[in-house]
Amino acid sequence: MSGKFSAVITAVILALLCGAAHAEGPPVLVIKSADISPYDEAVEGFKKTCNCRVREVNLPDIDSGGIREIVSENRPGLILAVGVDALSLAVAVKGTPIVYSMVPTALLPEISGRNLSGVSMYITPEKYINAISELFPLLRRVGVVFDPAWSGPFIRDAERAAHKKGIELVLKQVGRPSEVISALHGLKNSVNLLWMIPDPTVVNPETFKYMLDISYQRHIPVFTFARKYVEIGAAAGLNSVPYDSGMEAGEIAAQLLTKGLPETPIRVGAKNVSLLVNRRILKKIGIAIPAEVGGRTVNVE
Amino acid sequence: MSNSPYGKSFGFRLFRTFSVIVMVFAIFFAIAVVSYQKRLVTGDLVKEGKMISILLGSSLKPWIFAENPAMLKDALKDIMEYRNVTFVTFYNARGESIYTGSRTSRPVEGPVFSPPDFARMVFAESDARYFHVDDLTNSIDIVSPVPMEAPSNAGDALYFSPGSSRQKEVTIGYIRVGISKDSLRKEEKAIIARVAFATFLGILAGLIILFISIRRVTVPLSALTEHVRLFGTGEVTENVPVTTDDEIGRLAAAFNTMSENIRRRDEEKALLQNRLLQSEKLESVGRLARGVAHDFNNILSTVQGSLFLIEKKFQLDGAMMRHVGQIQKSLARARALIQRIITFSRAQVIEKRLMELNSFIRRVSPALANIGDDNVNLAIALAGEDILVMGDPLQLEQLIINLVSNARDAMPEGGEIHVSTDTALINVKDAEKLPSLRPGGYAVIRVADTGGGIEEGTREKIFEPFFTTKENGKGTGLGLSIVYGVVEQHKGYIDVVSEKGRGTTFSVYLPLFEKKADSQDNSQ
Repeated sequence: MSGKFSAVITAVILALLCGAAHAEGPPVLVIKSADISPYDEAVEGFKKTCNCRVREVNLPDIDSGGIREIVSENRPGLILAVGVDALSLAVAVKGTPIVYSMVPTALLPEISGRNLSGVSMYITPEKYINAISELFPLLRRVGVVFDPAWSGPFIRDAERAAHKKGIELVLKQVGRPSEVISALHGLKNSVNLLWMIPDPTVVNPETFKYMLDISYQRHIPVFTFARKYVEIGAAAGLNSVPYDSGMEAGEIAAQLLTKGLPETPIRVGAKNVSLLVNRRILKKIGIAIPAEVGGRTVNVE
Repeated sequence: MSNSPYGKSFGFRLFRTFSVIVMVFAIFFAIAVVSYQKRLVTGDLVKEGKMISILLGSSLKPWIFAENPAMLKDALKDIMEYRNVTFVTFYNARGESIYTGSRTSRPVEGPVFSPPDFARMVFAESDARYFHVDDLTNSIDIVSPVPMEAPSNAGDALYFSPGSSRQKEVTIGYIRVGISKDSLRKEEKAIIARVAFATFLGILAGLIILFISIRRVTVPLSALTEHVRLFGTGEVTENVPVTTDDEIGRLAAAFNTMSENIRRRDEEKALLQNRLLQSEKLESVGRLARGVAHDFNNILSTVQGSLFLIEKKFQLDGAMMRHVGQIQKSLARARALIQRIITFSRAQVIEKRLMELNSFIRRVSPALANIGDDNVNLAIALAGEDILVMGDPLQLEQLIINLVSNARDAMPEGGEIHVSTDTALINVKDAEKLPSLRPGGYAVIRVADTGGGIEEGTREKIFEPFFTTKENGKGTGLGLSIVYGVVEQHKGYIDVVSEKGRGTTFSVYLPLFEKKADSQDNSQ
């Protein structure tokens, strides 16, 4: 017992020493793409687990020259880039470890480097399919419009996951944004759920409005990938939780700060996601969700 | 027109000039109003077109974005029912036509846009430049871009709302709306009709007000002009009515004052001339009388002498003596008559001496009292101060007796005779009106009665010898002539004021005694 107690005490002391060492080490420069609430939440999560001193800057307030200046002045041990724009700017700083957060997966192939680690908002197709299956067990024909250039691998994984759950994906391929409306128009009579995937060719304000039109007219729920769409009319969706994403990024940062850059960059997707529903929309389009699932959802209106 | 009396009229010319001004202003105003109203109506049509364009752009954005002509055609059905919309054309972002819906088979008015045309059209986010508006002959052509928030292109916006920062917009196509001008034309006609009617009423009201205003100016002016004309011809007898306080009113008042002065001066002049005439006439008569009296006196002396010789040389019987006595009586009467004529004609030698007039009156007052009848009261009121004159007491006694006698005769039914004395100062101005007087101090003897007064036509003749209004045999007609002669010989003046039914007042002015005057008189 005393041996166990001694080990715990030792571990705590070591942890505190390590933490103190991080807190007293070089600061972490946090660059946010915008001054919006999800990014603030991610930064809070980052602070929670990083155990480091941070200095925050917002992109609208500073340009690339300003970033270089700040880096040369503060000599940060690590840069946290929150959002795509912040990451685009941060990769210009060479020799400093960069951890990203709140970045869509689709952009990552364009940015590479050993010093680049982080947590994307990528949610696996399985998670989407599982959520759709749980939330809408009776809706088996799911329409998806996608651009193979952006979402080909994602759709392949989605088809496999859907097959396992007995869901039929009705797919429409598009190559240009202007084709999306017609593709949706062609889908509206043959599906009972529209799945809006994070495909930049497909998603734009007009296509989303048209999806909502179809949703309200045909009583077809739209299942989406971000909170903001659920808030403005989609029936349900999965959402990468910014705070959790920040926490995961903080853990990676702490590891990099203590152990240095790994051989292989640490790049992970969203581990924790929340299932969002807009009960008002669901009620309007006359779709009920199982009671056992309802308790695990976050209502967004 | 200008030769007619109306054309020459100041009021007419004023009215004509102002009428032209009023009409020109009214017409310009009407044109401005019509133009303004047309702009408003055109502006409304343009607004309508913009609104339709915005609505179409907003509601059909997905189909414009998708470049789907079938859906656009379907969506346009309702809007094409609207009477003002003649056509709608949708273009994609490259400026290529997607679909055109038209209400009529008439070809679309205006240019056929090619893709580069859209590049030349500069659309900004402000309303003024957001639309390209062409005002064509039969329609208004409105072209507007269809904006859309830029696709997120895998940026953060795919997941998050951009916060306060402005989302970038891209143009996904264009909408061209043709708005018919048919309704504009109808509205224009209605506006022109309304404005023309209002202008007509305005001009009419303006002309009426103008006419009344000018009349208010010209009527007094015309009245004044007419009075001036009448005054020029001597026909005017009345003053010009002064109805206003303005320049014309003051002009009328000035004219009245001027005409009044001229009239008074004319009257005074006429009076003076009349007096001069009277004076000259009496002078002529006096001269004649003097000559006649002198010759007649000589004749009478001859007759008297001859009669005396007849009485001396011939023993006349009683009957003849009676005839001679009768002749002598007649001769005596003739001599008395001659004496009076001589007095009137100022041929009599007078003996002036200094006399106090009040004392003189007191002295002769018993004789005056005897003149009056029982029903005539004589009242004497003498001045409180002594009045010294140079006069012939006998002649002045004759003067006052004659005046009192005349007064008595003027009151056959009885009445009152007032005899009074006073002094008066005749200034230069008064003296001008009375040519026989010189400026200076005068003694005044007034004899006033309460009789019937003297007729207007009679007054001028009362000093003429042998003029009488009395019955035959009751007067010689020499009483007032003698008075006149005495006054003249005393370098005085006699004034007569008579009012019908209220009596007559004779005022005799005699120069007050002055040493200088005294010496001059004595020298004469």
